[in-house]
Amino acid sequence: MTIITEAKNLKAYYITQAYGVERTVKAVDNISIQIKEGEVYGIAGESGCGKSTLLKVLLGVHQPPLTIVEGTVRYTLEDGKEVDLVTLPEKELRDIRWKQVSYIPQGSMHVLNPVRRIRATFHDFISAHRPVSKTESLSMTGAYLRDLGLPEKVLNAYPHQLSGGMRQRVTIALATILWPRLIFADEPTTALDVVVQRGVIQLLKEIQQKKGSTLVLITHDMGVHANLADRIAVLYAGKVVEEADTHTIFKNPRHPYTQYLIKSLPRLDVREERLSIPGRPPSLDNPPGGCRFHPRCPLAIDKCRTVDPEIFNVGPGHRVACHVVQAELEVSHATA
Amino acid sequence: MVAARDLFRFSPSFRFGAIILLFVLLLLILSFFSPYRPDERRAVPRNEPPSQEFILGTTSNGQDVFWMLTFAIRNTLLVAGLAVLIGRSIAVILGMVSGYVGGTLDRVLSSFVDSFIVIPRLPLLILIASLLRGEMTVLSLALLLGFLDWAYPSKRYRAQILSLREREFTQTAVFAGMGTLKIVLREHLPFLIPLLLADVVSGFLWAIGMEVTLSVLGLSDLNAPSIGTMIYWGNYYQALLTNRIWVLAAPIGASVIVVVGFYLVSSGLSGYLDPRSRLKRLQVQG
Amino acid sequence: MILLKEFVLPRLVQWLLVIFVGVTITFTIPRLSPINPVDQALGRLTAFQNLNPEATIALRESLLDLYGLEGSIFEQYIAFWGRVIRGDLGPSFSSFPMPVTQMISNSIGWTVGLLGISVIIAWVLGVILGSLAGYFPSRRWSQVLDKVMIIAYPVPYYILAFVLLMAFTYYWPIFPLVGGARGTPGFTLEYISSLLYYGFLPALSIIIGASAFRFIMSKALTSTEISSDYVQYAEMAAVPKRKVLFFYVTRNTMLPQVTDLGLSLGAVFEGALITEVVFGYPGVGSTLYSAIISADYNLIMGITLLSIVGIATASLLVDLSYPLLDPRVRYR
Repeated sequence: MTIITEAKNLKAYYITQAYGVERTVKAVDNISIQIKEGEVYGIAGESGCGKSTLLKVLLGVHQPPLTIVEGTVRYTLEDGKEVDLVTLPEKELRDIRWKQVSYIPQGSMHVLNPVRRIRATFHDFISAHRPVSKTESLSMTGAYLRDLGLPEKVLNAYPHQLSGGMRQRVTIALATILWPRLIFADEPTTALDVVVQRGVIQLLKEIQQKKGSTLVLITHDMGVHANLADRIAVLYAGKVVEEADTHTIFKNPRHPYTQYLIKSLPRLDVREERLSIPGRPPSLDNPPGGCRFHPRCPLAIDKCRTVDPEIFNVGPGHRVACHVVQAELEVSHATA
Repeated sequence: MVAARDLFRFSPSFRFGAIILLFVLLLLILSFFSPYRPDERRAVPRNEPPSQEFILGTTSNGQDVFWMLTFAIRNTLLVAGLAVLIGRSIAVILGMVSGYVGGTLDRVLSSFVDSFIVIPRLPLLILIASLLRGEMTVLSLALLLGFLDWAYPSKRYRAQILSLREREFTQTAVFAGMGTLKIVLREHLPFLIPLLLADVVSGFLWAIGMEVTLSVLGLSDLNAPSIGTMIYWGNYYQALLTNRIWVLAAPIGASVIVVVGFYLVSSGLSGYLDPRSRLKRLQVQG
Repeated sequence: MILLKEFVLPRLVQWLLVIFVGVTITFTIPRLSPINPVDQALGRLTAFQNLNPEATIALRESLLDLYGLEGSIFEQYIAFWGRVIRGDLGPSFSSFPMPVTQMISNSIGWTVGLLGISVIIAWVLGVILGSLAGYFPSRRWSQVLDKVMIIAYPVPYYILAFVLLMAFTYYWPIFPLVGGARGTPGFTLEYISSLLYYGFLPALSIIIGASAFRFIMSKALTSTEISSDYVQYAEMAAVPKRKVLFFYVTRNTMLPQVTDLGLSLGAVFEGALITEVVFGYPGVGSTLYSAIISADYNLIMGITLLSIVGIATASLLVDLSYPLLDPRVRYR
């Protein structure tokens, strides 16, 4: 299976300077991930853990003060060519966007230009990449919306006339109108009510399956991940702490943080108080030393306070960054 | 104090502006040591070009331009300062009454203020000043300007107070049994001060512009030296046609320096007080 | 219908209120004056020129009517409104018995022509340059432009106009010192080119002064707008920059900008004064200036009322154009 996107030792920091105060926020700190063609790759974590920043860097839309300090982001394009986003010229970057790589933003109401009709926005986005006339783009959009089961009459509306759920669906259509091979979705269901959420998830699934596109799904909502993702990476304070296929993450999480995340999910069969994670996520411009999770970790040992754990394989396709897990593993190896 | 030091160090526009205003302040203070009285005529030879003795030359009225300029800056800034003080006081009171009392009173006051914002002020000023001609003094000009410059700021304060009233800390203070006056003074006033500061500068700019305009039209107290009246007398004696450009250059230069100084300080300040830059200054929090 | 009731009606009411407040203030001011304006005016007039007795009596009557002093304050107020509504603002003192309204209408064309056109040019220029500078804030030209405008903006308009006058009529005399045009009015090339020639310098002063303010405002609006989600999204989708700038950024800053354009067009009578005095341009401002010099209160009051009505009407028209500018107002 081809690797469509690969980030290697990626470090991206927000570096700001104002009135003599310099701040460095290490929002993405040494992350390495591989995303395979055709899969749904989930990225999970609390808010403020660097999910959205990672996404910006993977998309190549980062702007100062966010800077890539180290590492590479490689894409495999349609023609098999490999490019590095970090060094790719702006013009080529703009060229692959929407045609090959696209982005569905957070479900908010401000993504569509409030003074432009939906059909004009579609035309702007299509004609930026294909030489089409207004009529052509209109019929293209109409056909696509029909295909997705969305009412065509939204094309003549202005954004404020649509409901939140409809706006989000239109945005999804807008992001995928050119059938990109790789779609990034950032909290696509947040801010929508539960019933609408389901529809949006269905729509994403449908689009992904129609052409076998790759979907990178970023959300704090583990329920959405359970529904859609094939593999999941769990982020904590700018680092990947665990990565595995969805089943493993939910049934056999190894990292204490992931275990908390799973345990805090509501379950119908067990009627007991759900556990929530003690403490709060650390601030990224002054993270704790050693393992960043140690102040909140019930299993923390001395080593956790001083040494930053490396991520390592605990099983096939299952990676964890935790000293305790590593120690257990060594013990079991030694006994075996 | 820390803010002033940071601004001075890291905001070039504040630094330039502050240096300019310090220089202006120095001139203003010098006026108290002038060897001449401000209304003294024929104190020195007339129409002398700048020289060692008269560094900015002398006027057709026989006054030393440099010392006149120090008086002019003092009077113009006095007019502007008083006008700003009066105008902002009215604005703060109206804005607070409107914002805190609310209800019908707020609606009536607001639509009155909205109407007043739209009404052009220069013709009103001219109408009043021409009725009062001959009776105008530095003080009455300041009063007049002050009473015409409150509508827009009061609208802004009202909006700010309305948003403050809705915030959580107000509710907390109310539940904690804090008195209304105490809430206003302790909790809300600090939020109004940045707005007030920015407004003060724009009020200064307006008042200086109006002082110059009215004086040039001959509608202010022409015997009191000010930036505007210096230009008036320069024009009166045809300084341009008779090649005595120094008479006009001094007040024109001074007015440009003063307003640019104020403007630079204000843009430095507003950059510093902008919530986005404030966020950047905060050391902690992700 | 809902649009009419919820949108048009409140604005009409506000328009009437502005005029009401403005007329009331204009009515009140002379009455608060410590000087009896009628006696002062008559005293001045007789000192300046010889009036025949009939004219003095007629003047005295109209003055008493306008300022003051007959009947209860309420009756005076009603009478004042009556005159305002009839458009009868009395005779001018300085050019007796010419009515004030006629003096204004003689000069209004010059003012509307010069200031109207310059204000529009300044607006367009300021919006274009400000949007460009706000959209490309790190370019060299953008930063230079920014510095220039920041210095030009706070300078009092009088000073700016005066410096231009000195520079281009005195030190480098390529433009005329006073006047509006040369030759007989008509649609001849000669007359129109002289109109442009005489109008150039005053227009330039307005354009510099007004476009500096517009530039700063437009740049500030643009910098807020480019951080909005829809602009960032369109940028991300590689929509061409010129399209993003025009349809996504500038188009969304139009609401406050057009509001301001309307208000500054309404304020041309106010702005006319200094421009026309400095450049000796015939128009309402020059008329007002000579009225100030000759203490022609009737004329001053007439022009004050005209500017109040002008600006109130302009702001009404602007408000009524909102539905055209913003679909959120149009369809609710």
